[in-house]
Formats: sequence, C-alpha cells, structure tokens
Amino acid sequence: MSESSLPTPGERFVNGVLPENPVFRQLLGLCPVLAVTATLASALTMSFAVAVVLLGANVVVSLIRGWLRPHLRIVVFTLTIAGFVTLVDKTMAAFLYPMSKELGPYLPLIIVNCIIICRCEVCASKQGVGAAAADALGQSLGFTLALCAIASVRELLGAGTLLGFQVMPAAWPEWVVMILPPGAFFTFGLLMALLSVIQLHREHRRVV
Amino acid sequence: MKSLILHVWHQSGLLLATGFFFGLTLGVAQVWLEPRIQANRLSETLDRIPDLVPGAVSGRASGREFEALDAEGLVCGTVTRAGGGGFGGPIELLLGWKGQELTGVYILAQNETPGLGTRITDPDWLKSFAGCQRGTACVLNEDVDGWTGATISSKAVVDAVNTALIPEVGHE
Amino acid sequence: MDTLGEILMIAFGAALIHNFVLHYFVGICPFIGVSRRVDLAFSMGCAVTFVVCVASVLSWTLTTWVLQPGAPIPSFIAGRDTDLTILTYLSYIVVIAASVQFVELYIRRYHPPLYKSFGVYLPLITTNCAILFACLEISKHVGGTATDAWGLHHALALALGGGIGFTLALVLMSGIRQELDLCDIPRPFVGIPVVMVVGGILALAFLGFTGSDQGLVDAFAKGGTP
Repeated sequence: MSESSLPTPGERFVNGVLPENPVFRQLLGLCPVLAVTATLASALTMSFAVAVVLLGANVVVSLIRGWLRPHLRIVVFTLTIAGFVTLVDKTMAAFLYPMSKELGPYLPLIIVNCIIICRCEVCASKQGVGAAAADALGQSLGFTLALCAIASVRELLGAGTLLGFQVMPAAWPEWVVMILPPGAFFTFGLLMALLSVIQLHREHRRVV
Repeated sequence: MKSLILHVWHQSGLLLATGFFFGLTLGVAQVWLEPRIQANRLSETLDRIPDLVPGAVSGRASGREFEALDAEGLVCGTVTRAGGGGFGGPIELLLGWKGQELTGVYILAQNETPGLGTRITDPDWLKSFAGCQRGTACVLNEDVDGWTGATISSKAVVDAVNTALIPEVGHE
Repeated sequence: MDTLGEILMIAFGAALIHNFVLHYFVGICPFIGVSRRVDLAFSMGCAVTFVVCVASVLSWTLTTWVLQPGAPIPSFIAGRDTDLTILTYLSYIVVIAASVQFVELYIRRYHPPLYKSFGVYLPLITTNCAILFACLEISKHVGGTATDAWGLHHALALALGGGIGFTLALVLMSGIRQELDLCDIPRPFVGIPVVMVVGGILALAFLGFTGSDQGLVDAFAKGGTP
C-alpha cells in the first residue's frame, strides 16, 4: 500500500479517540480495562503507562520500519514493547512506589496488550514518525477515556468517592460488588450496551 | 560462507541491533533506578516503625528483623514480619516489640473483601493487640474483639500474631 | 502443611478461587473470541493449559538459575553476585513465544483439522495475558524477597490449576453462549455486552469460592493429626 492512501496524522489522531476507540470499538487490551478500574487513580496511572509505552514503541517501530523483515517483525515489536515496559515499570517503582504496588502484575502485562502490537502492525510499520506519534496519542487518549469512564462509575458506586474524595453523601450504601471483579464485567457490559443504544437511536433517526 | 553471513545479517541484523540498544538502555536504567527502588521497598517498613514501637523515631534493617531507634539513636525495640492466610489471600503483618511485649501491629498487605474484611486494617482495632506478652496466646473475642462480617479475616490476623507470640507452635 | 497439601491448595486456588479469567481478568480476548462453540473452547483451553505448563516450567528454571539476585549461573560466570531481574520481562516473553511456536508446530503436524479451526487464535496465545501472568506470579515466589520459596512442583501446580480454571471458564461461557444464540436478547445487548454481563454473573458465582481454601486447610490439618 502506498503511503498516500493511508490516513494522515490528523486523521490517525481523531480516529483513535472515538471512531476507532481501542476499547469500545476494537475490543483490544481488555485485561487492564477490567482489572485496574476499581479506582480512578489506578486507571489514570495505567492509561499513562500505556500511553508512554505506545508512544515509544510506535515511534521506534516507525523509525526502523525500512529494515523490518516480514517474518521477524512481530519479534522486533515484542522486543521493543518489552524494553519500554521494563523501563516504565522500573521508573514507576522508583518514583511512584505505592501505585506500582497497586497495579502489580498488570503493569508488566502491558507487554502482551494487543493494542500496542496492533498499532505497531497497522500504523507504525507503514507510516512515518509523525503519523505514528499522532496515532499513538489518539489511541492512548481513547484508551484513557474508556478506562476513566469505567473507573469513575465503579469507584463512584462502589466506594462513593472519586480520586479518593468523597462525592456521594455519607449515607450512600457502598455497592461493594462494583469494586469486586463482577462489577468490572457488569460496568463494561452496560456501558457498551449504552453506546449501542445511542448508535441505534442515531441510525433510526437517519433512516426516518 | 560470506554470503551466509550476509544473509544472517540481512535477516536478523535489526533484531540484534534492537536487542543491543535495549540491553544498553536497561543497563543504564538498572544502575540509575535500582538503589531508589530498594530504598522504597525498605522505607515501606521503616516508615511504620515510629507507630509500632513507642518512643522510636527511626529504624534500620538488621538481618530479617528491623531495629527501632529512639531519638538518641539507641535500640529501643524490634519490628518483625509475620504472615498468615486470610479470606481472600495471604495477609502480611508488621509487629512491633519492646522486649517480650507486643507494642503494635500494622497490616502491610492484604487482599480481603472491601468494606468487610478490610476492617482488619482499622488502626483502633489493631491497637487492641498491644500489651500481649510473648509466650501467651492472644484469644479472639476475649483479648481482641472480632469484626462482624469479617470473622475469618479477624481470626487470620489473630492466628498470625499468635504464631509470632508462641514461636514453638508456629514452627510445628 | 505437607508438600502434597501445598500443591493441592495452590492448584485449587488458581483454578477456582482466583480464577485467571474471572478474578484476575487475564485471557479475556480468547474468553470473548473463542467462546462460541463448546468443543473449540475446550481445545483452546487445553492448548493454553499446555503452553502455560511449558512456559511456567521454563520460566521457573530461568528465574531460579539465571535471573534472581545471586542466581548460580551468572554469578559463577561473573565471579560475584549478580542481579539480572531487569531482564525478567524480556526473557519471559521470549520463553512464551518459543513455547507457543512449539505447540503450534505440534498441532499442525499431528492435528491438522484442529490447527485449521484455531486459525489466528493459536499464534495469538503468545499475546494471551494468562501465560505471562502465570510466569509473573511464579517469579514473585522465587526472587530474593520472597518469604516462601517455591519449588518447581509449586510452579507446575499453579500453571496446571490456572490452565484448568481457564478451560473451565471458557467452556462454561461457551455453553451459555450456545444457549444465548436461541434467546431473544434486547438489541443493544446483542454481541459483546451480553457476554460481559454473563461473565459478571459467572464471576459473582466464582466469588462464592473465596475463603473456601481456609476451610480446606483446616480439614487438612485435622486429617493430618491422628
């Protein structure tokens, strides 16, 4: 495919946020989406870590795309991602120790997060650094939005707080189940259903 | 022969170069960050020592235990680690000692049900352990109250403390 | 507790109490992607179980002998204590990729129809979080800071238990989804949302296993003493 037929950096960025949202549209990288969304703070930290790794991997892959060999490209992608994840993991353990303890194994699990390897394959290995960086920023913004949407619902209903601040009245009966694993499944399923309600509504209007 | 080397280089040169690059980067990161990470890991325990041993202002590691130091830098107590199985997974505890007397308990890590089992982290409840003597078991609902809705979690903490109070039983 | 008891507890805990999919959310991609038919879900579960076991054994060996602080082999070569923990993630991902390649070759050689029906999902086992997760869980109990040192048998117990738990979750889900195909689902819920809600109900059911390990420990203790 020639580079001119691929989306421009601007389009890449916009696409990542909503039209090709990695979580709600492409259903990629769902482990952290469900696992670290019990509190908004951990969701934000996780999104930031993913953004750094995605940006780093996309830029590096885009820089070396001319020398990639087809059958070895996945290995190179994985190596790059694992390198960046180790760096982020160590940096976080050094400067944000409590958060790195809370995220636990989910930080190293970014290595096998499908979003990053998918973006390397779809965008960075075909386009220049500008487009790759814009794509990484757009996708991580979309990822952050999705994580924050789920996390705020879970934290608000489960603990009555947002980012640790009390939001709900003190009499709020905390829905502990929302913080527990089932709450993650329920919240994600219901949010997706909500999105498709909106979409169905729009399509219906267009037909009428 | 020369063409073979060229072929291998052609195919895997990028892989080798990336590997080398990241090896170098990680080496630098290791040298730069590792001391900080170790210090973080240690201070997680050391920061708790003033709350666990009365009169202590700082602490230092000594082998598997930690020594509590008072304002003059003299050893005024010890802090040990203990562990046990809770309702949702392992529980890790820090215990403060002054001679043979237990002076404080802190939950370092736990995985209990939020809102129910997590009541074991309540500082006031943990204070009720203070005063236990080494060699005498602490009894649930007599020396220490159990939490309603967190019976197993409370029992797990009491069991872990008892393992430290009566070492012979723990090593059986 | 004796070794057999420990192994049983680890395997039981990994399979039911802390189920990989329903408690730790690792391996969600195949949980959604390959859970349309029971037979396919079962074969996928078996393949993952096998890869998890191979990868865990390899990663345990690697961690014990090479990666943990003061590990024998690099210390012997360097002549002093070494700490190669920073290479943990890199070497694990290589080990996992190699194990998956091995399983892929085996299935392609001896079970071609199965190979065809797996399609793209077989190489995707490499990026299945469950496997890296199992390796990471094991490494937590091997490194220098671990309070309870795990042997190879403990690692294998976790891998086997986790794999069986993964298979169980996948088969349960696919059974429910086959039934769901015949149901009249509200339109916005068609597809992934209903799978997620059903997954939530399954997770709720598995939450009931929490704490049952303590009861088993007590039963073991009673059975152990005459």
